[in-house]
Amino acid sequence: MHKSIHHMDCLFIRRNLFSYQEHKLSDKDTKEFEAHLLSCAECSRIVSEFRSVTSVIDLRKDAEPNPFAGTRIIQRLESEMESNKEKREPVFIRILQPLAVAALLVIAVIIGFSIVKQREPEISAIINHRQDIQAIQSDLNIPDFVDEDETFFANK
Amino acid sequence: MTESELVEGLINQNKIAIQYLVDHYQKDVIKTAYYFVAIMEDAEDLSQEVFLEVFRSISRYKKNASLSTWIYRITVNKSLDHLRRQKRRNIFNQVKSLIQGSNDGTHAFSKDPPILDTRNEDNEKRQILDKAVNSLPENQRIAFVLNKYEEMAYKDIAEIMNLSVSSVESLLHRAKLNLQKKLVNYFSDYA
Repeated sequence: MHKSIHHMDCLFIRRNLFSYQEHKLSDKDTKEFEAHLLSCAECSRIVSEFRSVTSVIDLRKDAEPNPFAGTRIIQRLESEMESNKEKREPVFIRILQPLAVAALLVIAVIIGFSIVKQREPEISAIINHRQDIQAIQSDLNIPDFVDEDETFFANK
Repeated sequence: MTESELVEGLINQNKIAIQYLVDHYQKDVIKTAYYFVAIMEDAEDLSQEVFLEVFRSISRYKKNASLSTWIYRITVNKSLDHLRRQKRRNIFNQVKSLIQGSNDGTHAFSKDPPILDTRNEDNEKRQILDKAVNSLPENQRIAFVLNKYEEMAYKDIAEIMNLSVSSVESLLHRAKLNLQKKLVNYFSDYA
């Protein structure tokens, strides 16, 4: 309960500035409040200053944002979407591409092995053929090939 | 567009949904940020951060609060973060100028705008009120700004702050008592 009219003092005024401004005091207290202001210059000044400073709240409510603020927000969101897309691409580049290269290498090695396997009889035939020649050479005492030009120039 | 359609559209990065979101909420977001940070350009920059955050974390949005409550929450948090960063920067600058020493004869803390020297009367009042509001404890400040500037009902403030309605009432009561005290002291000192 607020103090009665006879005891209303400056402290009551200074503790109820918002209540008075927002019309939340009872009729009786409002009358006492206003009566005190008539008799107290200091409280009257404080109430007036308080009203003046808090009027800034209404001034701020009237402020309007820049009409292009929305466009800037959209641009920022779109650039975010773009950078999200760019972030997705390296996943392909960094993971899928090396995987594809490795798979190609494996395939190449397999193909290589299969080709060698297919030509194995031919290769072994060539090896056998060389061995036969060496055997005939040794049987007939044929010396290894001598480069005659080289020996001719060496002798000179 | 219903709220769930909007959320779905944002998750799918649908351009129509993004446009709708910005058209529908940008003014509230900018004005709320402005009520906290007091500079329109800063509020507009902050609104970009807010929408970016909404866009990035929309998949984590839980429907136990309305989308607008969720966006208000992000706006309040971003605004308070901004003020905290600003405060840290001011402290850093003050310490820096103290260390460097002020050879021009002015005190390092005089970088704070001198309230009484301001020519523009509205600007002077604005600074007095901002200083008083910004010196309130954070919860009281949020409740006060949302109620007095945004004219929000206690129930909506309670939802945004994740508190009960009675807690909001109590916060507002204390915020007003504190503000009155600070302002009366100021008026008495500068009489």
